[in-house]
Amino acid sequence: MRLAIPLALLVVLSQACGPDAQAVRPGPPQPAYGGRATIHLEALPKTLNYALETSAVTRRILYELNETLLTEDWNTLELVPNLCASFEVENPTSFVFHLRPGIVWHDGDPFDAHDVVFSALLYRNPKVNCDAKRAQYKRIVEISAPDPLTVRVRYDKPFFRALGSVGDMPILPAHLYEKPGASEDEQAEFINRNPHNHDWVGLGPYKLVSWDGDRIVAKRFDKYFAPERGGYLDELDWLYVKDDAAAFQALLNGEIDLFGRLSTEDYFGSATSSELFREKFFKAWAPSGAYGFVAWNLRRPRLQDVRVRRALAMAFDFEAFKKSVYRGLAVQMTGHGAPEGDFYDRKLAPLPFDPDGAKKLLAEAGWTDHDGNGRLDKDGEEFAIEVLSNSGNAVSETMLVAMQNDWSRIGVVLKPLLLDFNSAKERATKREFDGYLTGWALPTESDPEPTFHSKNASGPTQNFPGLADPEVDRLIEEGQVTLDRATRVLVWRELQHRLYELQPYLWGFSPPRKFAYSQKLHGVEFVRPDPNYVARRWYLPAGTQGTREKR
Amino acid sequence: MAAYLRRRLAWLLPSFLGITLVVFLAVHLAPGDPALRESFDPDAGSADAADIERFRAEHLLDRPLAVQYLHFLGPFDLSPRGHRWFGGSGEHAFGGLLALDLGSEIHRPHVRIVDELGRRLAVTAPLTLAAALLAWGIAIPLGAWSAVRRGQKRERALALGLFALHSLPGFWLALLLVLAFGAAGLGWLPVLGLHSAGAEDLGWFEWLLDLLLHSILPVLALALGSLAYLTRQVRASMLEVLAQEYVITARSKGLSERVVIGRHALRNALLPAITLAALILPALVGGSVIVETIFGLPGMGRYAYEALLERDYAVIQAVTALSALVTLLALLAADVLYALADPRIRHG
Repeated sequence: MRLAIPLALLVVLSQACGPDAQAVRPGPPQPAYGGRATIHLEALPKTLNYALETSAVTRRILYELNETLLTEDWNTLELVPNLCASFEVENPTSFVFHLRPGIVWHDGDPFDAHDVVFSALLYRNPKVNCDAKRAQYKRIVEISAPDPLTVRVRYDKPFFRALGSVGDMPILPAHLYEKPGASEDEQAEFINRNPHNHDWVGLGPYKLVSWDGDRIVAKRFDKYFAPERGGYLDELDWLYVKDDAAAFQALLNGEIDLFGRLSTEDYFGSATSSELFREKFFKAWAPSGAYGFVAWNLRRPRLQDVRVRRALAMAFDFEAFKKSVYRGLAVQMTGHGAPEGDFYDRKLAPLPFDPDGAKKLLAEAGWTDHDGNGRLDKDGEEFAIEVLSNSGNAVSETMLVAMQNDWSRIGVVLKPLLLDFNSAKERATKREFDGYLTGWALPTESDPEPTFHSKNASGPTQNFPGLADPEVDRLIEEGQVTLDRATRVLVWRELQHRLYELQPYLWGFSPPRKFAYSQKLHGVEFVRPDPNYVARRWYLPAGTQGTREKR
Repeated sequence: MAAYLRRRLAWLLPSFLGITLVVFLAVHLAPGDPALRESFDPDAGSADAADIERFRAEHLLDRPLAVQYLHFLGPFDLSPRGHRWFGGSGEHAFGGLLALDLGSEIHRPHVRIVDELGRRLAVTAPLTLAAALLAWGIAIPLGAWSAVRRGQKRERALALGLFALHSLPGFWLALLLVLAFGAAGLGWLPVLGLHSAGAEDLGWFEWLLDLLLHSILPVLALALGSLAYLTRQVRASMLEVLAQEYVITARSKGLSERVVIGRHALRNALLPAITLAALILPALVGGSVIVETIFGLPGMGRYAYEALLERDYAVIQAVTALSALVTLLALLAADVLYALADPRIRHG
């Protein structure tokens, strides 16, 4: 049985899109087996054990090196069986997975239900360094393997993401990670310091062969359980290059085949219109699911008044910023969510750019220029707000300057505070800011509880504003237990409208991710789920030197 | 000489401990919390307070700074797994700097720092050494020529060129080299890493050639960065020597200019270079963040920099301790060589 959770939604957006579109390719050539592709990584994973790691780069690599019980169909975004041949939803809290027989790990050991049970239970060991995912899997109250090909899972209560969560759970090879007879501490130590965290043994169509410094090399796994979905290329390399300018030059030099961090300037500028680029490369963009915002600290008295927050949004010229910085290629956000999905209502209009209206709202809130110095004040105190952000992000820095400029026209002083990522995060977690300019990268549907529910209004949480609104709480709780997708769409949209009305954030933009890639690669499609591409589908055309017709 | 050496050696340990203490305090007093980074759950949206506490306890971050420093220094492991004398389980009794056990990375406990240092040094040290040899190989003749041709038009033009080179920011110089020699320019050289993809399948000669081609641009970037400074040092030293009476005597004896410059002046002019040469050693273990970042080289400079961003205290302390030790030893070696070369120092 299939559970049609997500969205039939926008998939391919590529080189034909955008004002500077490239020529459309001729019909696809016949695929051949063999060859290699090198993919740029903007960060180096700490480990390839995704139970211990939360980074996007680890996840991207594991798309090819490991498999999960269910997978999101790249085109329809439905959850479909993967390691399991089928699954049953017995009731809203219980699921049964029937595993495919004959699956083997990259080292040749058979995969079975015990691997799944072991992988789920490790979150119960408090000493295992999987803190970042513990809460997500703590909801599983029972998991068992009645036989080697069956896994039975029970959650504590109905939850809209329950099936997706267990379906997406990182699975570890128990024969390499389980230490029979070990105490809890010894078992945790065995997992945390396991050499296979680096030398990963997985189930994916590609098998890790080396990870030396910045280069991770994987070769096609001949015993992959679904050969029809296996890769064409013999080798996939991931290469970490921190500096984007250097990585782009390496692409031009043929040392990288896919680069996913093209800046807007390069996407529209001379970097991608040169003869060299047009002859050998394509450019493309795809939805990123990420958006930027300024979280207002609602514990600060001057930001508690919703009129003040609305005024700040109305005094910033979003349209001018979008044109100058993104060349129009970005979505102005009016609430939380990934703007491409139907859970997000794109018809909700943003507040108008209206500096006079903003001034009026601020005056209603008691902020006027009493002493005639051009700056608003109230009870002898000037309206100055400090906005915290990570240093080194050119777009954030430009946005702060633009806000500073626009808000100075209505008498509001913005003081930017740029700190390195960790320092900024620490201050944000301790709520030592007025505004915090940051961003979220979201799947098509996500749980809004961590970011907006009142239960996370204090402590080290992601509810940065400290929002505590009964209506928001009610909608979140209703959405979480609504298993019918169509009904949930309505609930999440209502939540979006409520949040935009409350303005706990100054909602910014969702720009797409922009790619440049070698024309030697064929079968390159850009899809909605991260990482936006499917490397196992890439191929070199038949007849290319070093390729062959058969696997 | 023996007394001089003893005196210098006696200062080595307190200097080293002083440096480690300053670095330790600077790192721990700076903002940023490794426990928050490790425990933050992007899906649950919060860091569980119990998880944070457990992480802090495991890495002694909840203990007084003095205890943390002594744990880092060793030789006793003061963690819960450490020596029984200090309440540990005895599983790992000894550790720390004095036990020559640098431990594991905070965020990658499966990676032993000493192993990673070895891997990083294998990248940084040969490149820095090659760059130093290249820089000195150019700077010595260029500096000597500048001194001899002092004030001439060609010498002034060279000085201007060197100053311009010196003024270029390191990352810009590296990117210029990439633009000039990569596909966007002449297309002669690879611009990333030390090997091409699939280099492991090459024969030894092709493998070596691949390595050499990949090394050219980073070595050039490193060498050009220090060329101006070294050339000016050699020039200044040479000018000083050329004004000495023994050089005038050599000339008045009728020796050829080549012998006067090459045998008498240059050899003496290179004495101050001993200190500069000794300072290459710290660079060999320190690496260059910029060059390693632009050319995608997993070296020591980047290791330290990334550890700083990640607040990996164990790595930062290990790298700085190693750099401090090598710097102190290099300075000691320079002083000893100087003392051997110049009797006034060892008797002074």
